[in-house]
Amino acid sequence: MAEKDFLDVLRQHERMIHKICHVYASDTSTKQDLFQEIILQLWKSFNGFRNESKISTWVYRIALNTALTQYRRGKSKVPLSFIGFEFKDMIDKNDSSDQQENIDLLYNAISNLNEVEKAIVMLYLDDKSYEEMEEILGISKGTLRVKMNRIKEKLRQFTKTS
Amino acid sequence: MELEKLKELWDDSTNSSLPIDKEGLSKILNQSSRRPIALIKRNLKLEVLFVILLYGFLIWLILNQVDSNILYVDIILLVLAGILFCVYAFYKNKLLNKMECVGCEVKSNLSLQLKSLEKLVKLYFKVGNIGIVFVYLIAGTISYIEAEGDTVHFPHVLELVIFIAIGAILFIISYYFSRWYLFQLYGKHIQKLKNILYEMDESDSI
Repeated sequence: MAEKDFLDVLRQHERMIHKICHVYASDTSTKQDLFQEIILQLWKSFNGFRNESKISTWVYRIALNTALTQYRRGKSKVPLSFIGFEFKDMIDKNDSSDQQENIDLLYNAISNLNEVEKAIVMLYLDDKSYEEMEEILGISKGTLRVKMNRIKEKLRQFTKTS
Repeated sequence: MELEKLKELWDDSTNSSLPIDKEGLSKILNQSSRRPIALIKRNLKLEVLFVILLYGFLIWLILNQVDSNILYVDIILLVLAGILFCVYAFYKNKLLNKMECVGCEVKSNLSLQLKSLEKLVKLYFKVGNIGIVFVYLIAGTISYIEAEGDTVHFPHVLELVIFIAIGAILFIISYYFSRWYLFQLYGKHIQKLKNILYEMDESDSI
């Protein structure tokens, strides 16, 4: 039963976990490792979830804590393709190349931010309120606003020049 | 490009549906974690296993009296070393269990991890250096007593000076080696955590 509930939670938040992997890992093998590690950490903490916060807040906390403290050493684990999972392209093949180009541009812009700014911008793009961002990151709302203005400016400049 | 447009792009940027089924999930869950804390926990288990095997062998040696020169002083030193190792392993395990809270706010989890990791590195450093001195003293005592037979004599001054001089050189080498080695193992990760917390504190001090 727990496994079924857990799979449901994963299905609801799979896209978000994907995005975190794309933002915090540079190559496919690291992305795969990070993806597995996040799932492992979510599973270990799943029984401890007490509904004190939204499930998405809880998933975000675990995923970001795992991504920010991951260890890049040694060989990759079992390839995800082995278990029938492949990291998909960031966009459907049917979409236009313009759209693909814009998405590449967005991820390039985000890759120029520091680790904390990446987390803030992801939460912003996922339409999280400042209250939720504070709950996830532990940074006060006021400073998040100031920080967010800086990030917006950085993104604007980057997307303008590119 | 407008920021609202970025949100749309972000929303469109992953379209895959989750292909992980029950079987796939159990394969992932059977993998061992490669996070720093999981690695340190596994190392602790190996250390404990190594000491258990070593002590098992020593107990077998004493019970079978393979070496007739083993004296009570050797046994006392070995028991003392065993007790010190148990204290070290217990403290390290306690530290590791409190080292992270992945379900907590990111900032508090990172500072918790940083503080615990720094404590752990200090523990390694102290235990490593004290351990070298301790092992050297035990080895010196045992080999001296063995060389002298059953009667225990105090060593000559020259012997003592040579023994202390070699010990001092070993201690200096071990001091700088453990500093370098611990930096290789944990230094980069500690620095990374410090940088992230600095970025967070920087935004907090605006």
